[in-house]
Amino acid sequence: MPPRTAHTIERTARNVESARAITGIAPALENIATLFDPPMSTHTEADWSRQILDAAGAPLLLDLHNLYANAVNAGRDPLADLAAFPLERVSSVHLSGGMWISRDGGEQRLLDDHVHSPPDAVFELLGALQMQTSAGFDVVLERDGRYPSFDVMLGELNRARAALNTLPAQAVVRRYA
Amino acid sequence: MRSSAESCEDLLARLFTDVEFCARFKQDPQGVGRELGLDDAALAALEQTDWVGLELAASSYARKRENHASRKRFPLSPLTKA
Repeated sequence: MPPRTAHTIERTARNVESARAITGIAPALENIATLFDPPMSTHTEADWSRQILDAAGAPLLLDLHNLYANAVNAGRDPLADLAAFPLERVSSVHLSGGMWISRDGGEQRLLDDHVHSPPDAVFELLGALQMQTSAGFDVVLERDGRYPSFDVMLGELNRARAALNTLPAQAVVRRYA
Repeated sequence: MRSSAESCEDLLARLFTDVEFCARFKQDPQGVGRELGLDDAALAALEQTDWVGLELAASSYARKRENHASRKRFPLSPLTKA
């Protein structure tokens, strides 16, 4: 996780351009999870992301649990962070979960781990996203292990559908069977 | 000569991966930062470092590296074929 600076914006955009030269298309860029705000940053996460996406001309893969974890780990309001992101660039959304970790029982941070169910806040962020953008996007439920029963996972998909139905849906939850 | 921005990135990378360096830096962030060529703005920003989060992140990355190193390869992959 580099500091969020003009230098890392420029270098990331250059890397995306290299990928575009090979594949013919800019990849969607995902907001990553961090356990702390990188020191020596001169930009907020949302502004840094916006400037990279603008410079690279790339779509945003918005991971709502990453956004949530970064906000709570830094003591910020996740809904305010969401509103600051370039939501018009969202092409896909990830929903996942995590766990609270600490060293020797000290201060805790939220780790994004893909082996826990998305918390309530992630579904609330999905509903808020739906209300704040006219962009169409796909939604993916991420899970890499410790799988619950299939009924539990279907229940999570239904919660995502319900969150998207807070307004006439632009987005569609697709089935990846 | 490396720019201050590049020095900032190098510093963070070492803090994530070098336990001894991280301990030395925590003892004297300003001194070590100056050795690395950080400018005054970067040195001032270091005062705001979230050490709890940084150390948890370094531990998490170390576990990921260990898991990656111990991951089984497919039997006929180029890395394991005789």
